Amino acid sequence: MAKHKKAKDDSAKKINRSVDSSVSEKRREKTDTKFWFRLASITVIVPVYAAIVICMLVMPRSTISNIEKRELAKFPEFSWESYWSGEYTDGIKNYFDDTVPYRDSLKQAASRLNKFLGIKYNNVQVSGQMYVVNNSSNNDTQPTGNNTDDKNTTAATSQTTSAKQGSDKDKKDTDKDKKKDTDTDKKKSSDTDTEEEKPKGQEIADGVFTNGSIVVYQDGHYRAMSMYGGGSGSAYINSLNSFADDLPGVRVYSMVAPTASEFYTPKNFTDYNASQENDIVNINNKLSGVTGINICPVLAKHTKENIYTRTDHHWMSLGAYYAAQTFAKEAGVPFPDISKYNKKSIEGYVGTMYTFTDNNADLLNDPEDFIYYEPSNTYKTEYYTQAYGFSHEGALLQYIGDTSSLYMTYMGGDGYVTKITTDVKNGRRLCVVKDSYGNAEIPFYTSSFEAIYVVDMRYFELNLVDFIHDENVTDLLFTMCSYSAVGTNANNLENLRTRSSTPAVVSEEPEDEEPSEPEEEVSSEPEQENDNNDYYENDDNNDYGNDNGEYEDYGDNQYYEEEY
Amino acid sequence: MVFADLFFLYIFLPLCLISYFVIKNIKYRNAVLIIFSLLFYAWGEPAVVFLLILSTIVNWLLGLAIDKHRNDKLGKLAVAASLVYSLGMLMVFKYLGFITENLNLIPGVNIPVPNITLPIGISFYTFQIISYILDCYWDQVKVQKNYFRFLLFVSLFPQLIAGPIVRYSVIEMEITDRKTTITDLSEGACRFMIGLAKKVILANNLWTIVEAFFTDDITGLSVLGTWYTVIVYAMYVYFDFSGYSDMAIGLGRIFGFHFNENFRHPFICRNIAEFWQRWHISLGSFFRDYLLYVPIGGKRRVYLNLFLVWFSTGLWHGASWNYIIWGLYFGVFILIEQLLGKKRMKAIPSVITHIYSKIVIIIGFGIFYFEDFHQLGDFFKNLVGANHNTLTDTIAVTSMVNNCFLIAAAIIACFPISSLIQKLTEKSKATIAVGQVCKLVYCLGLLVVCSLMLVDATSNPFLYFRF
Repeated sequence: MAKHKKAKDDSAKKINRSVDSSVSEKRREKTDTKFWFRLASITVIVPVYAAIVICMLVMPRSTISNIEKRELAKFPEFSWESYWSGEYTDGIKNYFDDTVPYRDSLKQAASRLNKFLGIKYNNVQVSGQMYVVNNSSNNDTQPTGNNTDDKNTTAATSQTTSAKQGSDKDKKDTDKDKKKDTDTDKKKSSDTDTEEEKPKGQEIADGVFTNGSIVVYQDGHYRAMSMYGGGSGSAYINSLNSFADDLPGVRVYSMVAPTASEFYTPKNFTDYNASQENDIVNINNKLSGVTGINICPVLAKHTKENIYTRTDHHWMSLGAYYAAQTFAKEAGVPFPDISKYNKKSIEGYVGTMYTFTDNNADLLNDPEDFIYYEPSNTYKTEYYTQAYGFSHEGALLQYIGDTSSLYMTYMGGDGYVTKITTDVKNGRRLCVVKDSYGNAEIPFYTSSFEAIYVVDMRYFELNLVDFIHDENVTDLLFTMCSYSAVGTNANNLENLRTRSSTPAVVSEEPEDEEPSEPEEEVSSEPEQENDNNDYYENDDNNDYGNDNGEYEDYGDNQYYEEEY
Repeated sequence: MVFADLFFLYIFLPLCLISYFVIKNIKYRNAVLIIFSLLFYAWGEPAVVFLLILSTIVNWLLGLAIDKHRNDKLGKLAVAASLVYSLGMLMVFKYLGFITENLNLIPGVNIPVPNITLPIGISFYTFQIISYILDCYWDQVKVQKNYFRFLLFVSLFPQLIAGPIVRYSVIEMEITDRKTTITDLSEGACRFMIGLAKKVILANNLWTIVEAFFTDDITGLSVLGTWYTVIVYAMYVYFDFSGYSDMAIGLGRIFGFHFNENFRHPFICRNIAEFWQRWHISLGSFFRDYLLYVPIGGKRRVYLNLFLVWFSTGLWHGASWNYIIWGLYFGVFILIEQLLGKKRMKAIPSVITHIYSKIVIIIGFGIFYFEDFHQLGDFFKNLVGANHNTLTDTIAVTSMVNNCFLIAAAIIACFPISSLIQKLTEKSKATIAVGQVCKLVYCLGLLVVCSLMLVDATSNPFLYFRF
């Protein structure tokens, strides 16, 4: 039967071919006309193609990208190991793809092409995954107390446990794997959950703290922001309450910073953006022994001012100023007016949101000024390793020479524990436990406290309770953005509180302890390096591994959280 | 390595073309093609290339054995050995994880799930080998006595990693005797550029839409959003895969090979049977020729074979239950169509058959997408709004408007526009001239746009790599 079928097939094929070869007279003439045009087109195609090839080979290769603010891929070094794993050949391909001559100009031209995909609608462009965030269910959970919270925390914790991705070449594969991972996570969390019904919006909210990004055209400029998924922040609340219990005599404050989406989300997108003020109020209500500060109303009054960056996921100095002012009032410490500061401005700032919005061309072509304020009083800034070993003395604010990372002007980012001793004499010593949002507040505290310790809640390596006792801290401020407070970042707080302190080695050569950190200047400090690699790897390798080993899966969520 | 990549387009391919065309002797040309093909494969799989070579050696020898012992038992044994080898390879490298996972579902069974990465293109080249062995055995083709010619047939890089599944009979003659005519060169180059555009301009951009909507949790997606995304996904798969086939066919022509078509505008079909005559033709015809008529099942053979064909078609696409369901889903509709009969199918107004077939196909791609059954369930509920989801949502509407030109272009490209234009332009010499010039400008324009987009995007995966 099969033979028969095959034979029929083949004969059909033969007939087709013979039709091809015995074309009618008229057809042949047409074919001949075509022949000359085909010859002509070959004589055009070949030189054009050859010209592109020669250009690609001969022209100088790009080494850095100013648009993406990163060093481009380098030609890989050969080793048999890397060869057999496919890394070497992959590296050559990546090198070639990445270092195309005139890369930035070509990329800019390409980003203009994206405009031809469609029409802008309501002046909003959407990128990334976005979920409806059920605002009403958020409100409903307000009085229900701890049960739901605990469950939510489980869901949140499980996010970080996703297995590390292999270096699959196929992005689709990885996506599916990722999906599987999160599925198993979901299953895990539902196993530990009680059977109690949980509001849908909440689950989504706690699973996804960032909720896609939008670029909005407002008042003559483009503004990019990540949507806020919402969450209860139970880990945050529990840790802070325990800190207050552990630290009698120390004033503990919580000042969660809202992100730009709280104030600038267009009306028709509010379904996708949970209310940060609701979450902050909920958190503050559940704090005991901790002064909860809600800065949303204060910031809401100043939305016409430059309080948030348009192109970065952080706030501007001015926003941090209003927040710091509110805190100083609450703490009862002196606080000079902003006119007492030296205002500095750097042009050409296009921050992280450019990458987060899949390289939005409008954003790239609409840079902003990065504005910061330098305190005019006398103070000394010392940088310490994460285990509180002295590293170096330096400037509190410094331009690090890279316009996309201008937010790192404050203390060079999150890489060090910072100690600032000021000319204030009021017996008040402040410890700020923060994510990167807190960094912008620090300059405004130099006239309010004798000493300021700045500790990043993600990286600090000592027991924070002991640290606060040892340094005679009188005021403890937790200040971070809402994503960190309701997201997995907040889980670190419990570690900080309960971990056993490894003794602080004040070593002469800090690089012994922290080999990954540069000794001298903050300019090439670890987080920035991570940044660059991660952008790149997100695009290319799908190998989301991280030095810390803490954030194994650099899916979007984790990535954001790491960032803040 | 993939075609839609700057390194391939502007380093590998030019080197290969120069090496190939400076030589006139077909033997050396074949050598060039083999070297570049193995290099192409080894670039992505430096170690697994030896598996490819091993497979060709084993099956070449078995092919010789079949030829020698055509009429005795040894020949049959050789066929069996080859089939066991080929299917065993697929089993181990593609399905072992899936099989153990399912065995582990049986209480008391706890086998560690092996972590084997799928060698790229194994499904494609293994099927080529099987078709060669069976054709040899059935005396449809002459056995290839020269190993290197056989190696060339299997490893030829245009079709090596993502199809089409080229039969040995199709290129048997051309392996030893072929010419690249001016027409081949010009048509092949244009075909390649059009395929590249399908992949880079259409498929890659459509994928960003799919990625944004089909997430871990799709319960929040509106009814409109779900339909929109699954339609976009169906088009994505089509352009991704048919783009690759176009590039393969185009490249083949440049080297003087004439592969069969793999896609013929599947979305214009009127029924599901027709869809499969237009979609991934090389796979459909493989199963038809080698599996549909395998004499098993006795009286109920027709049904059993139909089941087997669609089960295998599903399974071929991936080691997961949703692919099997996807295959059987189409099998069911084809069975229904068969039972209705051609006459009655024809009597149904074409508007209805078009709507029916499109809905079945689109929902089919939903099954194809969701490997997780919870998500698949959510998907079905979303389609009819059973998840308490809204009819429309801002994001879906925004995305539609943001991508309206892209989607319009994709829909237009699903229709046989090129043959329509060809008909229009073939009226006189003048129109032919205009048509040819336009085609040239159009293709070169596409190449430039694709290159720019490739600079912009650092990764562009081929979906069909997984198979």
